[in-house]
Amino acid sequence: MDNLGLFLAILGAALAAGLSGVGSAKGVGLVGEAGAGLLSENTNMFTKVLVLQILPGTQGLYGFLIAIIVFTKTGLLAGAPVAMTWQQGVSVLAACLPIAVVGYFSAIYQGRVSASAVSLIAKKPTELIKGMTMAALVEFYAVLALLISFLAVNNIRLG
Amino acid sequence: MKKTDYAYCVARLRANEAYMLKKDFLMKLCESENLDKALSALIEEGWIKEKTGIREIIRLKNNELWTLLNESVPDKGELNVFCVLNDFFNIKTAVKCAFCDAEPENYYLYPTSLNLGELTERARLRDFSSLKIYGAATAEKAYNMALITENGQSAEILIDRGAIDCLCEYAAAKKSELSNTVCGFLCDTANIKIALRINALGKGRDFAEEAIGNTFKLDRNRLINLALGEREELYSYLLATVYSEGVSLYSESTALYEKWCDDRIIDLVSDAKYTAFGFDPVCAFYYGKQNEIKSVSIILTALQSGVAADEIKERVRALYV
Repeated sequence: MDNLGLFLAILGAALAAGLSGVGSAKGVGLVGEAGAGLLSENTNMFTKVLVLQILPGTQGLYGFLIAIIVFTKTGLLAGAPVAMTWQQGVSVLAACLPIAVVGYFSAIYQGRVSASAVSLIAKKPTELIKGMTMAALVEFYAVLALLISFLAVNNIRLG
Repeated sequence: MKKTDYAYCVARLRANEAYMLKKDFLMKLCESENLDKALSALIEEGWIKEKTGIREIIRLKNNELWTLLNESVPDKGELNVFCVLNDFFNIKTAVKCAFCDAEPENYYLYPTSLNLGELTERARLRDFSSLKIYGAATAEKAYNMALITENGQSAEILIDRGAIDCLCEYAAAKKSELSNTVCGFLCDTANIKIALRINALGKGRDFAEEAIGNTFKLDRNRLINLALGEREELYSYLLATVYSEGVSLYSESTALYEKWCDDRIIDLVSDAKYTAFGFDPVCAFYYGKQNEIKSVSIILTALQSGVAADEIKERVRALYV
């Protein structure tokens, strides 16, 4: 049980990177499917589809960023883990949860909005900006979760 | 199947919706000087590639539509709902051909979900008993009835009834709400037409029981009883249902009733324009495309017969886009 604190911190990092990564993969996959449908009829739309497909991928990056910060803070990245109490471990785990949970769901919902935007540009190719804006509004909440996780992880005193 | 599994399909259909004919274009098409000019306008619009006969154009467009749906829809079994009427028409064709030694292939309608090879073979052998398709029981029953009664009309009624009941089954299936609504509508409007005909021709109860199929929003027993009674009572019942607008048009002409049915389907499916995933947009696209093809067919046929533009415009169906 000596390493329980460290284990919990790693669990937090794993959830942050894992859940938001899975959410992003689902979101990007959904937009990819819709994009393929459009491209099978009009290959000139590739750039527009790509822009929409990228959008749900950012949550995975946010989770990855928080995981790296946790690894840096706990000394795992340098190969010299710091000693942590279980309470500190729980704090790191809790700090990772906002981006893990919000990242997962927002990526899926953003994927749905982006896939719908693919249908929008299929009918009205000039409306890409509107589709992007609608998808970007979902991103806002992932950014808020990233900020909370970032501030919380940074302000936990370890060692 | 999850609704998001239709993401590819819906995006592809939306891209195709952009190329569907608009009402303004169809109105101009009605005003074409002749068939040749109308065909040129359709080529210019990119709707057809070359000038051919009207039947061939319609066949090609139906094939195009069916190919697109088959390539796009994740579960092809869901498309069977669109084949019901054609399937039962093909069964009717096979049964008729079994009697008169004709080759049914030339009369089959497409798309169909039936194994037409098997159906044709059974028609040649005059034996529908071991047919392994849905509707096989109806085919066998209809053939035997025609053999016994030597009355082709009874067999036809039986097969039409089979189609109505099959549509009604689809209407009750828990797959797509929109598809259910349209199937229910087709079922009820077909029953209304049959009831009004029975009333006009003064047919008996046995005939009415055999011909009027299961209903969706109507009361079947009441419809049968009223079809056998006074015309006014039947009309007053039907005019109190959701089909009142169509029924009042039926009293003017059956063509107006048919147009109302086609237009009403577009009303029913139009909300699917704003649905991002699922089978509903597929259903809406199919019926939208059917109305488009039907409208062009009406216009071209009317132009060939020299019908005036204003008269043609009255027959043009409502469009999905």
